[in-house]
Amino acid sequence: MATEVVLPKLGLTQDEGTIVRWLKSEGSRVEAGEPLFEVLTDKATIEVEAPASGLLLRILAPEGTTAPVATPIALIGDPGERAAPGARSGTAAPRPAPPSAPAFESSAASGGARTPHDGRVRVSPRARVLAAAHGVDLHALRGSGPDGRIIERDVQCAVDSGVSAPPAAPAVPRPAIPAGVSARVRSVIARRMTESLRGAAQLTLTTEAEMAEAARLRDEVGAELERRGGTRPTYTDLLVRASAIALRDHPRLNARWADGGVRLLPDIHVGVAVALDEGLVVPVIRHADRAALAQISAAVRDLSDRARTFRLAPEEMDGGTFTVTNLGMYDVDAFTPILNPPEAAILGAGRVHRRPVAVGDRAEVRPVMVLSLTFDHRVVDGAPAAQFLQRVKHVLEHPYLLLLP
Amino acid sequence: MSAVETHSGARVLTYAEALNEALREEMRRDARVFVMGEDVAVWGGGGVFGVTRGLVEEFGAERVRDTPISEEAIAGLAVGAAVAGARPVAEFMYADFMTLAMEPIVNQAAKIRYMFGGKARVPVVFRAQEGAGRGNAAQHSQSLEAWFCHIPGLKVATPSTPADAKGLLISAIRDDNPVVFLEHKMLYNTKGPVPAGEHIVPLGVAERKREGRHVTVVGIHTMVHKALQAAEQLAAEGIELEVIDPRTLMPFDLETVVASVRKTGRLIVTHEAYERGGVGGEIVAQVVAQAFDALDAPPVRLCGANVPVPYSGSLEAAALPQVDNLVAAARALMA
Repeated sequence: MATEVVLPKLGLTQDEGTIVRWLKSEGSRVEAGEPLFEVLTDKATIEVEAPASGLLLRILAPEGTTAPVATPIALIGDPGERAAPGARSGTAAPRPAPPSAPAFESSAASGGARTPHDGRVRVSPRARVLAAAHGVDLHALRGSGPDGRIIERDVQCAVDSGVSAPPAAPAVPRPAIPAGVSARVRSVIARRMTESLRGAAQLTLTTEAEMAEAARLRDEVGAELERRGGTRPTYTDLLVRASAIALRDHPRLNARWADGGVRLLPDIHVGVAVALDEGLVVPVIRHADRAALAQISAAVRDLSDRARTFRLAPEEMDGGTFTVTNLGMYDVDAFTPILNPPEAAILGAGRVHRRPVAVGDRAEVRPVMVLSLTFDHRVVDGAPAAQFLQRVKHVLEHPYLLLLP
Repeated sequence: MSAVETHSGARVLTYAEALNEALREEMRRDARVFVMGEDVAVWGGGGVFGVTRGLVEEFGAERVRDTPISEEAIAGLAVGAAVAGARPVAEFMYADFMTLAMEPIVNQAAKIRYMFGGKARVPVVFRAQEGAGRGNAAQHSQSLEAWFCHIPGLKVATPSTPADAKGLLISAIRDDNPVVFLEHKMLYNTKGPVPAGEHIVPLGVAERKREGRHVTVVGIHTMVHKALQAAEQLAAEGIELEVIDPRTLMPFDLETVVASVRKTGRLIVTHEAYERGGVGGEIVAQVVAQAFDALDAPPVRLCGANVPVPYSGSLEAAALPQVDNLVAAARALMA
């Protein structure tokens, strides 16, 4: 029995439609759910999917025909049904259909027309509770869970990157730094850096990235962000984002040496080294691979501002899986960063400066930056580390990649 | 007993040896305790799996009784003996054939204390082994715990390790209510440490067999061990499973499971029994009711296929949840 394709009712007030285009010709094979024709309603042209699989036996309403809804406009069936009397006797002119044509029912039920999304946000209960606690607008988030569901980590990421609007913290003046803090910070740094050099098999690779495009992106995106009340991304922000993207592609660098084996880490949290008079601190951007550049930018600014006033919570300096450190502002070209234990890699950035670069056979003056990657050879070997560095370089040289999710 | 001393004062025993030890200790401690079943004494030399081995020699044929091949008779006699003041441990060779004894178990054992206003008690243990994995085919491989969990008045134990087998069987024997004690045929020869001296595991207390942050896995019997293997495999990817063995399904330690789900936000329930109408669905429903707000993903059931258990080894394996299925399900939950 052939299936009648009927003109679907696509709007509450719609009573007729015009066939704009058939996307399949008579005699061709169609699959249920495949786009079959386009129909013009009073509002829009809509693509309609085939209600059944089979051969498109006959088109009853050619392109340009206007017909009432529920009118049969085509027949889909088996090859043997080609000679069926009903089909053969059909004319090009649409004929009125019984009011409740079964084919129409099935077409509607199978979502023949692409209905607009119902606007419902898919959120896990856990994420909903967290969002409510932090005042995060769920409509502003993109879900990373199965079927695009917003899950805990999406909300956590928004919270961490300051997208939410938590109750405004009262302005706290920079507290007087008690005597001895400097000495304590110093002794922690001394212990951790010595441990790092003693405990890990570290070495450094360097490469040079051309920064002309990145500079342009900073200027153009920065201007737009400033217009929206945000801040212009720094090179450090670009490096955090580029590292996070590269870590996602090279998870072996997002790992640590633990209990005599390599432990890959499920989440990507990038620390940023911030120099203070009292010493170095490394606040962490959580889920940096899932944060937009603007969010990273805001988070880095917020964390480093608060670091300078000693208002970071301990957990904000904890749990990093990778670190970015930038000495470019001090005219440093390249250096050998020391791993921030227990992390397996750290990326150092030198200054962006203009120098002659060979372009084909000519020398051209271009802005470049040296990237210095220190990694733990216990966790990962030279080739994969180099590939990771290559990826960072590639992303910086093609910085629109920084804008992809 | 081929007991091996370990440094912690525990001995390494098989699951069957641990059960044997529990029976022996309770029979020595309490003269009302006796064992009955098909081939448990003389003819079988201590049961098909050796759980009652050596008991008839120590306690005599009065307290270790071979019965005819009639599950209904075994259950009926046990209920009567329990009401009359004895503490019978009745063995069914295969849980599949407890279907023949449902009347005395469901209508008598489970109801008598309630219907007599507490004036009669039924301190009986119905022991049986269930489960697949030995090519025993459709009539000798089922896991039927859900049948008993459905009946108010029955307690249901499903130990997965030698220590739990011993400790839970002692609790079951000392309980004044009927306990359906389900062992797993593939576990009898598995070994594990069993504490020396009196070792009791209370009914209704789950055990966290492995700690983890990302996915809670509630497993029964063999699935506990498969979940531990999956956890080992996933640890290398940074995915941590928290494996919980409820140990008894009635009473069920919901608190421990809910606490874990509050931590992880993700739940997999896994058992060999058929998925449809299985205990897994009940566990999921109870967790969702208590901890809906803690869930970050819909709970997952990994259970036996809804088909008679196949005889062919490869089909039998395909009909049961395997380590790979657990690994894949956990990865999908973490995706």
